[in-house]
This record gives sequence, structure tokens and C-alpha cells, in this order.
Amino acid sequence: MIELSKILEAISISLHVSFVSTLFGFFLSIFFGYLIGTREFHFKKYIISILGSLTSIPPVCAGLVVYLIISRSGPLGWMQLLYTPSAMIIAQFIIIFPIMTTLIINYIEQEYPQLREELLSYGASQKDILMLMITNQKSIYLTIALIGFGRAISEYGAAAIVGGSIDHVTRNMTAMIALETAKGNIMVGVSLGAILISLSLVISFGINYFKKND
Amino acid sequence: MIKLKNVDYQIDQKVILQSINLNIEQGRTTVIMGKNGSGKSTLLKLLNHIIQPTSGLIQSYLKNPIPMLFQKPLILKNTVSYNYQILQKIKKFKINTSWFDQFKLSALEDQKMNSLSGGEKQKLFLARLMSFDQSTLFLDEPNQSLDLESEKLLAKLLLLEKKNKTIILTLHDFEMAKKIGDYFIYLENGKILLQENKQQFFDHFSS
Repeated sequence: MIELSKILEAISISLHVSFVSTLFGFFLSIFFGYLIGTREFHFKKYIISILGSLTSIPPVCAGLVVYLIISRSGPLGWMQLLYTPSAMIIAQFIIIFPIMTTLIINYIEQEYPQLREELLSYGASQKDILMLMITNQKSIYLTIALIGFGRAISEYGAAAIVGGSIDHVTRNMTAMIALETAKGNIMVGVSLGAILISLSLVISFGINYFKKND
Repeated sequence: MIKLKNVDYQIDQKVILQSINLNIEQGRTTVIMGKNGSGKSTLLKLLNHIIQPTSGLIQSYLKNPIPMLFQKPLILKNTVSYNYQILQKIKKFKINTSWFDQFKLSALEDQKMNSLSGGEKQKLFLARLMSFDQSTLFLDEPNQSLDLESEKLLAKLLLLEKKNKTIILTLHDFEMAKKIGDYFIYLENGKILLQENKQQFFDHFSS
């Protein structure tokens, strides 16, 4: 039977890696989403199309790309990131960044033109407009963050390739579920799966509660 | 005076306004009328420098955009008083808070915006704009969603305000336009069909 401490360790690794990748993804997607959504430039629709295509990137492919970059012979091999939680964070970031950025661009393109016109007439700066857009629709940004987090915590392929499922270091929940199921410990796999789903539900309920009171 | 010479406005190759030649004098109330999609709101935004013309020239005594009443004004998720004050906090405008009471909003002060009716929201937007005490008012369909009583109140306030202000507004309502307007512009498919003073304008429609 699997030890409780190992399960807690996997939960902790999953939460840590997914939280950090979501945090990076969230702030960078706000930055780039705002940059792209509020401006008209020559290649805008191509950039949006590429981001849209990347929303469905198979996690294994994202993992493979990160692996090629950070493996010993890759361009960032000297950083010795392979098989570390940092590598998993990068891989998850690559998966969730296009999703979050596309959602933010969609929201900004809907809201910004009208908001901009009125706020500019009040003498607001671009910074004022951005801050009002964020504070006025906190629930939308939270939902986008939740979508990113949900995708990050539930993916397996990318994190497994670059993390290597090393015990005590990079073995997260999804890696442990795959490993225990492969070993024939179906019940352990199912239990871990239930814990993973419960974690996602708790976070989802928390955010929904916040949205209701917003 | 605001002067428009051969002004065109297009969005994505679509012509919204075409060959607009117009003189709007200070101190009078100019009413822009026309069917939906005729370009009334766009003309109002051009006059207030919110948007720039695709071609043509605009000469105006206003150098920058000033707060105006939009057709779909900004609503922030929070209370009525927060929405009343927030835009004023942006640039720390000095405000005349008496408008909050004049539009009978005091009783709604702590209510959330999503609990307000369309008419109550419109009263808030009007009070928010009026509180800036500007000498020029740009109003895009100020009477939309208002009930009869509030519409009467608005007409009364505008009649008072027009004595010392330049008012430029869009309206669908001929009765209200007749009550408060001095000069009238009628748009059709982005072109000015009529621009006349009150007598000529209403003679045209009664014939």
C-alpha cells in the first residue's frame, strides 16, 4: 500500500507546480492580452490565429519542445532544468499561456472600445483604463485563472516528459496515478484521481463563491 | 463654434458619415435626429473629439474630449454612489454633488448597480455627467429608458441648463426635441438631410 506521506508529497508538488505556472501564465497573459487586444497592428489577426491554434496543443508536444530546449544538448541545457519542478512549470506554462491569453484578448476586444471612449473623455490614462477593466470584472479574470490552473493541474504528458516522475522531486498527482495504475494498483489510482478531482472542485467552488459575492 | 468641413468617417471600409458640413454655435441647443444607424452617435463623438474623422476638417472651441453621456455608459460593479463618484476620482474633477439629489438617487445610494432598473441607471448616468458642471453638454439619447415623470424632470433641467450652456444631443423623441431644441440636424444614411432652426425644421415635418 502506498504511504500517506507520498500522496501528500505528490499533492504538494502538483499544487506548487500548477500554482506557479498559473501565476506566470496569468500575469503574462494579462500583459500580452492587453497589448494585443487594445491595439491595431499589421499581423494582429495572424498572432491571434496562432494563439488560437496553440490552445489545443497536445501536452506531450509541449513537453517535447521544452525537453529539446532544456536537455543537456539543448540551447538551455547549461541551466540543468531537466527533471526539476521548474521544467514542469515551463511546460505547463506553454500549455496554459495561449489559452489564457486568447480568453483575455476576447474579453478585452469586446469591452475595450466602448470603455476606452468613455474613460478617455474623462481624461483617464491607459493605466487607469487597464486598472478599471481588471477591478470591474475580477470574476472574469479569476475564471480565466481557474481555467489555466485546471488545465495545468490535470495535464500529465508534458510534466512527465520534462519532470521524469522522480520520487520526492517531480512525481506529481497525475504521474502517481499513471504509475500506480500501471503497477496494477487500480484502487490507489482511483483514490488519487478522486483526490485530484476534489482539489479542482474545492478551488472551483471557492472561486464561484467569490464571484457570487463580487 | 464647432465647424465641420467635408467630414467623412469610415470603419473597416464601411461609410458611417459622409460629406458632413456643419456649423454648431455656442450657447444654443442643437438636436441631432435620425433613424437608428443613421450616424447620430458617431457625429456626436466626432464633435467631442472622441473619434477622429477619416477625412475632412473639424474646427472647435473644445481642444480635448470632455465627459459626455454615451448611449451605453460605463457601469462598474458596485454601489450607485461608487458609480457616481469613481469617474470623478480618475482625474479629481471638482464635482457638484447636488445632482445626485436632483435626480432622486439618494434613496438608491447603497444599492448594487445590477438591482437598478434601466431608468434608474439612466438617471445615475445623467447625474454623473451633470455633476461636472461643464459649459458644453454632449448627450446621446438622454431620455432613453426614462419613465414619463423622469423625462419631464430631464426636460425641465435641460430647459434650465440651456440658458447658460451649449447643449448638443441626439434624440428620437420629436416632442422633447421641440421642447428643448434651438437648431436641428436630421441625418439619413450618414448624410445630413436637414439642418435648420426650429420653425423651419418642424414646418418641414408637419407638411
